[in-house]
Amino acid sequence: MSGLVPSSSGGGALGPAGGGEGGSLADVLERVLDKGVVIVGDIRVNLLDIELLTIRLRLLVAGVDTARRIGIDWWERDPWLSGAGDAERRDALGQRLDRLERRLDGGDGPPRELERENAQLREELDRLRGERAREGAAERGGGDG
Amino acid sequence: MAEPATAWYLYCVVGRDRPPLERLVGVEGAPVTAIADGALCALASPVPLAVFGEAPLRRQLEEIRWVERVARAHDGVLSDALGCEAVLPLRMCTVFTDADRVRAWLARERGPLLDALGRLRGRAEWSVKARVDLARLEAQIGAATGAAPPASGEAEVGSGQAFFARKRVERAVRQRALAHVTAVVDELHGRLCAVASAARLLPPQRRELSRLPGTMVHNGAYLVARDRVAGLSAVVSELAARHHGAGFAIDVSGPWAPYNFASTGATSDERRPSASGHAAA
Repeated sequence: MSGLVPSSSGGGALGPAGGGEGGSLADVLERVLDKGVVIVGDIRVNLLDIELLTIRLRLLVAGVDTARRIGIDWWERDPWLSGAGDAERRDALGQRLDRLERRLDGGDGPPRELERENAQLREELDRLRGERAREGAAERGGGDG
Repeated sequence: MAEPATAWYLYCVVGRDRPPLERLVGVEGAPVTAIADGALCALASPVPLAVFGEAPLRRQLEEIRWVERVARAHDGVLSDALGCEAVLPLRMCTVFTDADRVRAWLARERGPLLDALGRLRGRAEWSVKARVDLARLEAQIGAATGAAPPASGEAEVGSGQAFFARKRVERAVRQRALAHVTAVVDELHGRLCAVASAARLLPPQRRELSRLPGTMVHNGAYLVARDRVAGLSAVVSELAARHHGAGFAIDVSGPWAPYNFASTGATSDERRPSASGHAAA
């Protein structure tokens, strides 16, 4: 092999990005997910949902064997989730994710288990979301009415 | 009042210079329209609340294929909007139930939005990723330093001394290779920063994620003015040509909407520290 083959328009020649319209799934998600100005629209899907989503997407896209390295590594370094005061909750969530991953690692583990774990994660998130919503409301000083 | 059946999915904010809307296709194939207030305009398309309402949306976000479709549609509208002077991307799945509320938001945030658009005017985001075939680079460095090529297999069960000597050489070669990679990446990023208005380092994608050969050693987003794109191209061409033989590949893609440079003082999530903090000058 004579060096790496450029993936899209790489290697020098600029042009519209290749790899299909908009590029690979990884590229599109990297670009779009958790980017862009956040505004409080009418439909308030908590940011945390999006963050958790990116973890899951990474788990899915990356494949199970590398889930730990990719998902957790990324997640632990995320400054938002790892912000002050969130450490304990983050650890709790992390352990849950660990368990989820182990289940996934074990191949097609009993789906019920996964579902239950997932439900627990949801609950945890709901709790977090509630706290964040309260913090947010306090910061916004009651919003704009 | 009854709940409206549709809501507005917002893609981005643009100024007076608007893209031709006929071309734009939004999420779920819906036509894109402009919701304007004075000099500001949000590009939006109608979406069913049955899908984009708060509770259903939360469920939808679990479906990777659905997320992919929405992300690609979101990206598609923003890419088509890039023809206009400035595009301020909004977070994916920003939904308002009512166009009047969108106008009210535009009016309320006019100052910061205009500032942000001004900052982005005539600029777009470019992605530059560098990969390296580490084995190839190490083989070259090994050859250049006269180190014995790594013995394959356990043919040489020889002396323990030889084994440790070889390990030592391998370690030295690896260190040199990493130093070389660092130097190449530093030069690449440094020279791109000189061309770009702003830059942001992103975590390199793992091979399993990028599905590309080699190890990704650099993943940068650069905000580049239109008239400096040739400069970006020149830097990449030069460095790609120079380092190709050593196992490097540089992938460029763009122009993209300035996703990584979208922020306004007032409307961004202030509690969130800038995600990829390595903003470069």
